[in-house]
Amino acid sequence: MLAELVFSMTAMTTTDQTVQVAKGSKLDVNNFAGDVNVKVWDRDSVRVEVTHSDREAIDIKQDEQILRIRGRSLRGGPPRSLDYTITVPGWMAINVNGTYADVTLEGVGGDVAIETTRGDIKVRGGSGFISLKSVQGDISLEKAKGRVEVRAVNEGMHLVDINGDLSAETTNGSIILDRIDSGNVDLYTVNGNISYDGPIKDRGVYRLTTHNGMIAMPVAERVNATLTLRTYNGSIRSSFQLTPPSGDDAQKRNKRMTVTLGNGSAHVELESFGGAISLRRPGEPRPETEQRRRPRERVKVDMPDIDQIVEDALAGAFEYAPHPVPVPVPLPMPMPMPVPRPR
Amino acid sequence: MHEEWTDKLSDYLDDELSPRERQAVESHLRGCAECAAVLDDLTRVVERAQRLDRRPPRADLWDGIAARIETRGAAPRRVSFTLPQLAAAAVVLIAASAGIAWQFADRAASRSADIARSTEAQSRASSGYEAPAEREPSAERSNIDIAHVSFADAQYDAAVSDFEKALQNGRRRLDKTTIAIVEHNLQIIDQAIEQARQALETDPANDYLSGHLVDARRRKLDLLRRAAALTIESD
Amino acid sequence: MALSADTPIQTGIETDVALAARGDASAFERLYRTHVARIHSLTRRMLSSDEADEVTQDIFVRTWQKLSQFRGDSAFTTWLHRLAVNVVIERRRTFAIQRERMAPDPAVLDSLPVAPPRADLTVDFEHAIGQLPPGAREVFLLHDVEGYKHREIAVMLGVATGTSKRQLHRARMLMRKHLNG
Ligand SMILES: [Zn+2]
Repeated sequence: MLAELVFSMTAMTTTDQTVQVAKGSKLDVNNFAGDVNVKVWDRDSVRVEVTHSDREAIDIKQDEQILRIRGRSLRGGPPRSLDYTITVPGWMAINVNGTYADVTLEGVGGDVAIETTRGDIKVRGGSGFISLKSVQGDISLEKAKGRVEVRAVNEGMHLVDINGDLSAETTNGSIILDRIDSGNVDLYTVNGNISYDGPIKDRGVYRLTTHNGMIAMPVAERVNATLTLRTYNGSIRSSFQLTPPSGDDAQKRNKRMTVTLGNGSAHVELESFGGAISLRRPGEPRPETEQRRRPRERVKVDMPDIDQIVEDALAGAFEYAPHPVPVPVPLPMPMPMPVPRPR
Repeated sequence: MHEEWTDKLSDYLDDELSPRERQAVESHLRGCAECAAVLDDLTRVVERAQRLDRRPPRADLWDGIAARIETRGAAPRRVSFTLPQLAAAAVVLIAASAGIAWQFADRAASRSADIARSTEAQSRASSGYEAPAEREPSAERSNIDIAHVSFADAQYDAAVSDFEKALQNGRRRLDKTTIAIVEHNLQIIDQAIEQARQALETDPANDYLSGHLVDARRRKLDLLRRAAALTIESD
Repeated sequence: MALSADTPIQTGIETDVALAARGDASAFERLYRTHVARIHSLTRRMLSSDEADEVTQDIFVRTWQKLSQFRGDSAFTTWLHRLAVNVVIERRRTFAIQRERMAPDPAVLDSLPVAPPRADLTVDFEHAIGQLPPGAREVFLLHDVEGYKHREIAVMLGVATGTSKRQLHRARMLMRKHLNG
């Protein structure tokens, strides 16, 4: 059965429409520009609120599986900026696409897929497959379960309270994680730090890679893991004694090291071409990021800078390193300044 | 057994009942331990089914496949990307499947050393990137080689240039700031590639560096593809 | 034992699909290695262990041939899996016809003695799936193991949604007995 409902609004007004949805339905929103705010209520229906001019119409179409919401310009071309507030049942899967859209999901409980070109993505909740993609814009995710995939380009990301497989990539930005519970982690950035916080599980696989930045990870005392630590211009530091296989010369030990802890079942691979790799015990403060090398991050002034937040939160941890901390070798070629964030 | 009720339990479990039927089943379940026990069993069956593990075949089937897909002596298919294919990259992929786990699933899998060696030879002949001159005598090297091949050969360069062309063609469909962001990030990656390449020249036996170079090149391809896809979406 | 040395450098599936579509066999090998466990498990359960290897190879060869048709409307994994299901169902239909011709009493096949219980519970559960009547087994695998919806299964198998639901319930009721043994 295919029921199609089209609501077209042509007056300067607020569209406020509530549509019943069957269990298992999915929300699909396409907003060229503007905010998409999604929150949750305890009803099996979706409420769509949009303020718009008489030049735009809001189409809400439903077939048995998908509730589609689109703005449409009555004069052709993409509609002007539209701000949506959408209230959905907690079980609903959410799919949002936009170009200049800021997307905020609060308390959702199903699959989440968001893609925007220039806009922030902020999600609390999500369960199942969670995919967040933006080219330029802050991405933050909290309290999510399942398989998480985050892709940014010119920005960092902050992920907190994630339970499940996790893959995150960006080019120019840091990847900061808090309270992660995962046995399958893959993090990659070209120019940025990676800071991880979570236990290393038996037989887990953790791969953290950056070209130019620091990598920080806690390692518990009793853990079954094979640590492979590699850097080229950076160094390896640890707040506890690492015992690499004997025979390695000191120079090499400072750049490349494989250490087996316990039965070695988890694989932890930390690689930074140009930055330090820093290990600590859980509970110890995170290491200070290398501020000297990263003044460029300050250029972004009109947004909460997660690197700044992390730098503030992590400041002053060098004293925990029992070994003298080598001065990082400057990169042969400094990274270019970032493009100022447009707004 | 109350078959008129138990027959509804699977649909109940899968949330396939109308609200009215659902309520009726729920109220029966409250008063009937027998049906509640059946529901419990069915739930466990479903859970067990979902937990069934996926095992690879005992024998490696790849050689048989490779033999059937490779037309020996013939040049590899040379197909240029169409714009929709490039756009495919931007589709948000939520696979109802291995998802992210795939990335690690076969890390331990053994690889066909023959294929690695033959393609590697080809690629060394056709690419500007020399494989490390002195090799650590280790069987573990072969995996690095495969990745090295795929991202340091003519096919990679062709793919990059296809994407660059597509991006150039679609440029006017993107706003200036987005173009600037993309180009800036491509520059960052190119610098990383260049740094890794230079490091590899001075330390050719360093397998970390060759892997790192591959990662950076992969990232470049991913970004180019995503950017090319944006030009389609903006239509 | 160094980790990164024996670790293939990962590449994006999307990248590998693009490379494989232009004839890069090593990219296709990575796709094969990524997906073979799932595809082989599907064929093994839907058909039999004897056929699984051969059919898995067929599936990947067909995938290679059809890769240029993959347009990216869905995830590659979803597309591949759907292709695999189609190959398997086709095979089952063909095989069912052959079996009817060859075996005068098809019921014999369904009443073969059940193997003695094994210590390994999962193996036993798997074994029990293999003992389900064909229709119930197909739907059970597609719905509960592979996660397809009744609507999708109905299309794949060419049956009504109600049939799919009834077969699933039948299968689950039969599988109850194998929960503990
Ligand atoms: Zn009852």
